[in-house]
Amino acid sequence: MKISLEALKSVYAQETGDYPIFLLTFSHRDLKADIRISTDPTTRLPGMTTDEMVVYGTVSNGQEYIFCGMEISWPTEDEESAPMTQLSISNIGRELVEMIRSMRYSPRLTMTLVLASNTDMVEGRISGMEFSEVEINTMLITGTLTINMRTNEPFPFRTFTPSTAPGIFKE
Amino acid sequence: MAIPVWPTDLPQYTLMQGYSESYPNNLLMSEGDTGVGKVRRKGATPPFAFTRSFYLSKDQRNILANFVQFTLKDGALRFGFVHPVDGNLIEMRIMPVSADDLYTTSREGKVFFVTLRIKVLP
Repeated sequence: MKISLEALKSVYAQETGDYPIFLLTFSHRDLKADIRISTDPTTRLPGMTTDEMVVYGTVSNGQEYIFCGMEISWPTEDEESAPMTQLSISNIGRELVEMIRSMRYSPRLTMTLVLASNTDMVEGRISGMEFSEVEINTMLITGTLTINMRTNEPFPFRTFTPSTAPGIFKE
Repeated sequence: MAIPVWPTDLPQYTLMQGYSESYPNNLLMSEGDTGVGKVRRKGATPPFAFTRSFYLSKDQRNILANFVQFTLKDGALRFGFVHPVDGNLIEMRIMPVSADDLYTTSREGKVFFVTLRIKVLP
């Protein structure tokens, strides 16, 4: 993954006030709207904070991502296997449980990396990940993020050849 | 429904005795065998904290218990109060003093002594 010069400076700096933020977007055809969550309580989200509930999160490119305590790392980048990583999300708020249990298929997930110093500048993005093997308990939602590379799918698909359809080759 | 505020029937003062403030540790530091370790911020600035002590009468002790139990839902909700030093109206949350206790009171003669651990919400 290529990252910006500013990000590289932060990575190699002896001391820095900058830090990475992961932004996750869950998409599913059963959802009315995408669910967006962040690893950092960067600021109060004015569009979501009410007297009853204070909501922290990150604003990136005009979208509000709700802060959820979670553990995640950037997926592996290996030539011989699909990108994969583990995701653990705090289940204290119970916001995601209903969504996950109501789905018949794995939700698609987009993972975006930004820096706190400039949350509009995307340092890295992986789209089309599947959130699967999900386990839920009172404290945590854990699962695997992976990309279905479809490298094991047959191609070309079901071609008519003498071996698969000898009847149409009879004279 | 507006954010709950500290009841007017409870003490508005904070005793100097037992008052302390703490700034959260928000650093990730590497420790090497030699040289100076690298340092960076862990995340957005976490809440500041302070402790607030005051005396309560017997009736006020019940008012505080009701405020915490019913209005703040055992402390899950935030409330508004004036910062004892800065004088600004801030939003805060009562933090547990231990794994089992949100706060404790001790009797001193006819009054009760209470210390609350408070986190100031950014």
